[in-house]
This record gives sequence, C-alpha cells and structure tokens, in this order.
Amino acid sequence: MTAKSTMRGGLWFLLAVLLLYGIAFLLDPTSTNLALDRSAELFSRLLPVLGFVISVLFIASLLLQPSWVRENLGERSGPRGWVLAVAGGILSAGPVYPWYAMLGDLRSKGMRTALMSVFLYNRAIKLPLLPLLIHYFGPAYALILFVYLILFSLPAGLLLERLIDGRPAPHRGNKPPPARSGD
Amino acid sequence: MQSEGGRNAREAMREGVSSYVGALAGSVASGHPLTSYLLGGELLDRGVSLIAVTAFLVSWVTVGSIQLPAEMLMLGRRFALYRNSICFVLAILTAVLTPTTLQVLHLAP
Repeated sequence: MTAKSTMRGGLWFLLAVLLLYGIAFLLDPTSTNLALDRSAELFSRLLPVLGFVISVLFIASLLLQPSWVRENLGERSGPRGWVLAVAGGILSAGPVYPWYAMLGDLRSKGMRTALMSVFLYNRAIKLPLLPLLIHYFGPAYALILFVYLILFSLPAGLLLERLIDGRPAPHRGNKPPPARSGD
Repeated sequence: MQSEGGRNAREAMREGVSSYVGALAGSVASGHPLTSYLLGGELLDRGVSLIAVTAFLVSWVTVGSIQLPAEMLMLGRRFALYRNSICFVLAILTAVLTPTTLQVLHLAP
C-alpha cells in the first residue's frame, strides 16, 4: 500500500464520517451533540499520546542513524542485537503505540524482524511493577516468570522472522532490507 | 472406581482448558498491566488455578487484540497476526511451565 493510496483512503474515511455525522445531526441533533462531545473528549485524551509518538519518532530519526541500526540491530548484529532488543523491551515504558511507530522506522533503517518481535515480547516485563507482582505471587514466581518471558522471546522472534522473511536472515552486507509498509 | 491414569488425564485436560481460557481472557483484555496483576491476584484468592492466572497475566501483556489494527498499520498485517498468534501459544506454554517449575523446585506458594 503506497502513502498516496493510504492518504486517499484516509480522506474518504474522513468524508464518510462527516457525512454520517451530518445525517445523524438531521435526525437527532441532541444525541449527535453528545457524540461530538465524547469524540472531542477522546481526541483530547489521545493528543498527549500522539505528541509522544511524534517525539519518539523525531528523537529516533535524529539519534539512530541507519548505519548504527544496521550494525547493532541488523542482520549481522549477533548477540549484541539480541541483548539490546531484550534490554530495550524491558526498559521501554508507556503506551505501545509510539514503540510500534519507532520499530517501523527502525525496520526501514535495517532492523531485523526477529529483534522487533523480541523487543515487543520483553515489554511484558515491567520492572516498576515488580513489587506488586512479588506481593501477589511471590519472588520465586516473579523470577521464574521473567526468565521464561526472556527465554521464549528468542524462539518467538526467530519463528516470526522465518514466517515473515521466509528463511533465516542471510548476510546482506551493508544494504538495508527493503521497507515493508503494510504487507 | 476411576484409575490413577484417568484422573491424571482429566487433570491435565482441565489444566489445558484453564490455561486456554486464561490466555483468551488476557488477549481480549486491555489496560495497564497493573490491573492484570490486581485481577490475577484476586482470581488466585478466589480459587482460580495458577496456570489460568499466569496465562491471563502473560497474554495481557504479550497479545494485543485491541492494539492489533494499529500494529497491523505500522508493522504490517502478517507481522501483527503472526506475532500475536505466536504470543498466544507461548502464553499457554509459559502458563504451564511456570507453576510446574515452581513445583519441581519446591518453591510453590
């Protein structure tokens, strides 16, 4: 799917929503006003998340150069790439949406599919919530659960890479993989 | 009188279903992981098995059916669908292995 067709689809969707609101307003102005109020409230709640997404993308574009990404998170990153993906996933915080956007950006710069999956899987480990997990389930449970989460993230990443890319990633030199916008 | 083997098979089947239901519930749920810990703790207190609660906790944070459209949009349809399916299966596996490991190591609460 190209950016142009996505934009066109978005415009059609916007027009359809406006049309539906127009029809609804003619039929029941009070309920439509209530719905508009709810939409405005929802939009105001989403604004900080959108701001965060844009900030993360801006910082990632500024700091993470394609050569760095290919070297540390690309096909030839080796154990360093896995460690970075695990650590990044554990340390990442906040809503997942900005991280989707950042991973999409990193993939276009050469990040391995497996490492993207590992990053997302390890977001399951929430260090700030560890005291609560220990309170309810005990320290041994928390430790074993975290170990399994980290261990399983690796085969999950490899399996996903095999399913998406067809086979284990070959050596691609310094060329980044082609960007995949929407499959 | 039922045999020991029959009881074990029924117990294994019950645990399998528990983990599946737990993973399913966690997959469709959404919200801060803090909520899943609180819910999981309460479910455990009310007699729900540790396997089901673990499946619930793990799938809550690894499977995102609510976020699926966004993930598909930004990372691709195949990536999102495959990733969430793999995570669902692994949530069940983790749910079975975690309490089993606790028992084997004599650390079960």
